Amino acid sequence: MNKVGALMKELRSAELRLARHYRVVADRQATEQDVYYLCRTLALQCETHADDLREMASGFGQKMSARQPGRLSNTLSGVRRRLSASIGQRSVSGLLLLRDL
Amino acid sequence: MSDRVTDVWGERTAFGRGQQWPERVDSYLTVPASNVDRWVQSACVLCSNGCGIDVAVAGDKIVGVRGRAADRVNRGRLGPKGLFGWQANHSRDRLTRPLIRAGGRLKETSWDAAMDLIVQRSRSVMDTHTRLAMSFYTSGQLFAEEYYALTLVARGGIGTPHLDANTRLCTATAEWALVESFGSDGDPGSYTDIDICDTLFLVGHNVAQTQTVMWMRMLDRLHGPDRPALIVVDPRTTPTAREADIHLALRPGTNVALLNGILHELIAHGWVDRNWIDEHTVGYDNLAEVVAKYPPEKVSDICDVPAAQITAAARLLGTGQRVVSTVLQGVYQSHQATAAAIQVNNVNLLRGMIGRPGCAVFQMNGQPTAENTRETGADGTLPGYRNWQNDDHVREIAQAWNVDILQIPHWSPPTHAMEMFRQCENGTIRFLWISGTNPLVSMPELHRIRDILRQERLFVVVSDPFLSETAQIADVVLPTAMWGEKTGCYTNADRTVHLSERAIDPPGEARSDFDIFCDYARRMDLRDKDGAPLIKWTSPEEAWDAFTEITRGRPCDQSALTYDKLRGGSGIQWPCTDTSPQGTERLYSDHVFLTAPDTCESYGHDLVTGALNEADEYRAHDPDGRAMLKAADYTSQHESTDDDYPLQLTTGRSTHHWHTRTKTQRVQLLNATAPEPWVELCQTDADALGITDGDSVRIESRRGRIEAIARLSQLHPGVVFVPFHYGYFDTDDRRAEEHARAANELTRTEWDPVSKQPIFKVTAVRAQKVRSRAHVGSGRPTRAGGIS
Repeated sequence: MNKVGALMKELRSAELRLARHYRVVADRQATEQDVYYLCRTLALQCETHADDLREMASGFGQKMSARQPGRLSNTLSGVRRRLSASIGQRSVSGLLLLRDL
Repeated sequence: MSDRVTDVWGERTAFGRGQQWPERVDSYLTVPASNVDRWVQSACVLCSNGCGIDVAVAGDKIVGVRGRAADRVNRGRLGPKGLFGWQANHSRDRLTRPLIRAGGRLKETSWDAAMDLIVQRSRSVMDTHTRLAMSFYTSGQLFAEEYYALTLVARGGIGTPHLDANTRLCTATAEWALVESFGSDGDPGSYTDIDICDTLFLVGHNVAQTQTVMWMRMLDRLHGPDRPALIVVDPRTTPTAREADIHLALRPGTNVALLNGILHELIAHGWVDRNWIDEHTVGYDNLAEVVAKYPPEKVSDICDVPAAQITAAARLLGTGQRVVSTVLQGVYQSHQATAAAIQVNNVNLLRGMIGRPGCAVFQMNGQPTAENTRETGADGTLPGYRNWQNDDHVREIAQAWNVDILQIPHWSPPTHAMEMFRQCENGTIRFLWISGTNPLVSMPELHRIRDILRQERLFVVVSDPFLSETAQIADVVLPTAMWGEKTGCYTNADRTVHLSERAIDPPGEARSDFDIFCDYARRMDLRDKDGAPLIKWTSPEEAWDAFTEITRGRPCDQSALTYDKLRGGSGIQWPCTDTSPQGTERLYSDHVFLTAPDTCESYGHDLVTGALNEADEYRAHDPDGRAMLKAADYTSQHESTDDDYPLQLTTGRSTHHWHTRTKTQRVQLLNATAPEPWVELCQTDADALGITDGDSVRIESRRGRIEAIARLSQLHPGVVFVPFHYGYFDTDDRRAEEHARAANELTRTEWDPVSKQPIFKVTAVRAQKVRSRAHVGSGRPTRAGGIS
């Protein structure tokens, strides 16, 4: 293992963290469709970067396990989306959007 | 003549390269020619081609039509909708009096009562919720003067950022693809380029069915000497694709990958004009770097198209000497719409094939007057292709209207239609005036649109000739005049402007949208900054002159185009100025593009996120009159198929119907060809699902479900097609109650980040047989001459 590999590992977990944040905001703002889809686009971008980093890092002796969708996060995702839909017709949804932005 | 219902394109009049397209005058009269009192000049409004037409009048009725032989667009020809569609004017169920909702039902009332209510509600909404609670959603089928009047009312009078048109659903991507590449909207080419070209590249453009007369022109070349090579990109084997030398039947949603593959091959084989590129474009290195990642083998995996076909298509495009490319809904209503449309511009730019005879790219329009929403600013832009981020541009408009510059909202992007409906949903917008369009059938995810429009807190006004699905839920309905009953201009996809004269009076108390908007401005007492009435004109001609004056010095300059000039003869292509009084056939013939920072219509967007560039950023990379080669990586779509929803739905159009059928359903000859919706599946998928031709099938997405009759046809495996035309005004109670007919029950609320055009062409669905053919009975659609 060398430093480049370790750096890539760190970078990858940062990308994955950012991706998770994007997905959480996406779900919370599911009725603001532009925020929802844009956050998912950006999350996907981060995950692609992470996958690239994982592949590159293996060349530097750094082995990392592949991403796997967690069952808990999938369930939470559904809950967040439903919550978002339930307040979508109220003006308070605008304040919550402001918070996430 | 009624055989022209089935013989859609009529007899061939083949011609060779560079010859003039021969005349062929099509006409349809319901009375002997000797009974016609007069012929009135007009143009067809049942697709975006813009065919010159003469309307036959006997007494107070339209009795037929005839193509104008002198017209440069159609040389006398008409398609089935043009020949027969006018009969909708005389439908017995036209609206003839205003309606007001009282006790939950719409009741007839007077114009005074209806307009007073609209004005009273406008005022109370503005008092309580400010002008930001007012919104206007118009059509792609009104006239230029009407759009301009609406723009003046909404922007200069009310001062709201919430103004858009149904063209957001059909032509927004055409507009933004042109702006992003060339700095300004405006299609560069001329239809005569089809007469001269040696290669035709049709991307997501089923021209045979959507613009039948343009297809006649292409067919006449394809069947004549020096046949041009034809390349068609479409997941369905449409009548257009059947004529192709190469048909790239790609997987829906993968346009960018395919086009990148073609650009890859153009560059890899040196089929590009490097000198021209260096002189007239910016961004080549970046484009080359991006498309280098798309070799044909990789693209083949993404798009499910043989790699050899991609190379073969690129060879035709790379070695042709005169290439005409066209783009329509297969790109615009799909995933990565603007990014893909721009890559078609890039094909022509890499080859230096623009602004010369036979060399053009057409970002086509969907609707007949879509171009005019873009020029007048009724579609969320500013009049005359002006840039809302450029204060000098906004000041020019404020001066022309004699209003304070702050009256015209330009502190943030104009609200696009999808965002407008979202703001209606969350209660920000409280007043919505819908003119000449039918969102309850045409918008995506209809259950959501129904919920939004039925809210008690939202006041909905609908102006329409018919009691459409949308009119049925309105608070006030205003009966409007149709084409043929009012005067005005409109412009087609090759910038040809036609004047359409009033041939007959509208029925009952129906009024033109122009008169209605002017009346609203008067009753609202909208004034300029000196206290004079905001709208200073009373006739469409005066409005036209005011509009053309505001285009002076802009790319769409029509300052020398008058009603008098448009009377007689043929349509005229803008720019039409004192120095080019007879119009201009092609833009960019000097290869200077409209990208200079002071000229451009927009500073452009990031193609992935839609983020806007700021003026400073743009100036720092000043393209200074050169076209912009913008690259885009292919990204997978957000809603993928899975085990539950394994098929991909694509929606689209048919030959004999127009939009949501408010007109074509009322023309017996047209409606009889397809009175009911259908779903197209390929043989393999149908076999796997136990579905045979004629069965009743349920299509279900994550948002809704519909039932339609199965037609087996040739399309990419895994893809199903449903026409989007059908709503509920002419169906049985059960299906209306269950909302089980309109294709948009299935689609979702997502739009392109740049053009904000909704995505209609990639929805995950599943299909299931509900009744076999034997039990379906009547109502089964008939097939018209080779059209499926």
